[in-house]
Amino acid sequence: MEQEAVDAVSLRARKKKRGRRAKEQIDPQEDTALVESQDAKAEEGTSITAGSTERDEQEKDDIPVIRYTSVRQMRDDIISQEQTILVQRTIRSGQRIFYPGNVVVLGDVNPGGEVIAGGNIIVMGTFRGIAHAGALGNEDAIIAALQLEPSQLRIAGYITRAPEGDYASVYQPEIARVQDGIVIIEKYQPGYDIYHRADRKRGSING
Amino acid sequence: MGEVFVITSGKGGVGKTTTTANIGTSLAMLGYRVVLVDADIGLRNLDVVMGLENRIVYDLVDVAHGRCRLRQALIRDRRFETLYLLPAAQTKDKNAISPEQMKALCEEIKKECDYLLVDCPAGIEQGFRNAVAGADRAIVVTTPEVAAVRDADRIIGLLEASEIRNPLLILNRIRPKMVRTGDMLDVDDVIEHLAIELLGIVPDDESIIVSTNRGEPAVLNSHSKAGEAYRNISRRIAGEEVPFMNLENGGGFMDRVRRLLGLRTS
Repeated sequence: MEQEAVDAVSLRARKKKRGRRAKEQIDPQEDTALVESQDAKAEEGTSITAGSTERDEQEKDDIPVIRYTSVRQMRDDIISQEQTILVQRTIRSGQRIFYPGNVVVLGDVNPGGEVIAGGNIIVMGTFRGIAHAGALGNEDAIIAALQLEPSQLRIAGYITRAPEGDYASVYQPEIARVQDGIVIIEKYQPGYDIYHRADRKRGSING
Repeated sequence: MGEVFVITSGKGGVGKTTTTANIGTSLAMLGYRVVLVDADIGLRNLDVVMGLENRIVYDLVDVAHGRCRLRQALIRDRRFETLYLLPAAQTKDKNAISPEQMKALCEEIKKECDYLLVDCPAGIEQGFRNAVAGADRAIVVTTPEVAAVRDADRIIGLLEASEIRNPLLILNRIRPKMVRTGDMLDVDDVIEHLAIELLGIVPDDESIIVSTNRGEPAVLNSHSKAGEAYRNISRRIAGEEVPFMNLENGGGFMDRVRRLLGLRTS
């Protein structure tokens, strides 16, 4: 049973990769290496986690380890398995970054700066520019920032802008997502999001 | 071998030319060999602010096109022997020279001076590209206004793209009273926003207007607060550690008493 699931997962991963390769020119060597290692693990037939000796060692302590792997898997707490880049810089006016996967900015995004991502956007700093998450059509994408004061937020096809006039800026992490056809911004509550999504998306896999 | 600084801002009217003239003059006062280059072709001002307008024979464009030698175009300052100005052409426009020509010119001048300051025109077009072409470092001038800070941010991004790392910031025309009442962006707001190193804070000072009109940089006036700020900035450029100026005037008598008693923390 587990074997089947694993095969299905790795097959999907491969299919998706192949589809993407044409667009993105992923390094072919790296790509095949990844697929091979997946196959090898699938043949073991036990689990999709790596390094069995290492695992045994850790589980001796009776501490349950939640293992995530680079293989696509069906889990409610994984909201994205797209590739992710970490960008450490200030995105200034007139600068735009684009990435088909997730983007994490370690820095501020100033007014006039743009971050466009196929997946989610997380800004470890103040966000004052324009963000477009799920730019390739993913409506489940989120935008989160330590301080969210955007001039415009776009998620997939939905666009919102900051309210006119002065409003008290909140010094707290916030998160924006699409809910019932509108973009909502709420206080970021650690962990809360999992249940939120799990209810809504039960049955479907991979955001 | 000297260092080339470009003084830029994006927005016009924030004090690039005044800053260039004052930093240049006070660096010369400290004994350095300084050349000021006015890159604002077509709208030259630096010569007026320096009071050297009527001595111009050849200009930047003439030198770049080989119509004269560099020595012929450089104007020596009236007050300091080690201070020179290379004026911009008034009858041409920004396209009269190319970034490559500007770069070659900067290379040639910096062999024989300690500091070369390029006064950049406003905007981000050809004139900006020319001005930054030969620069090693950049000084970004801004005022505590949202529009000026926005433009400075854009300029910092463009400087990064031209491979000029770590620009320095001069915050010009601060009015301590308005900052205190919360009507003006304060220094910390601007620095937090732009995230670059602060080189100096220059208070808003009426004596600047008088001195630019007269063609005598404010650093020559020992009573000018702005002049003092520019002198401090020059010493920082030269590598000295100078504490930032206290813009508060010490307050009234009661303020001082309160501070003594620890009732006021500022």
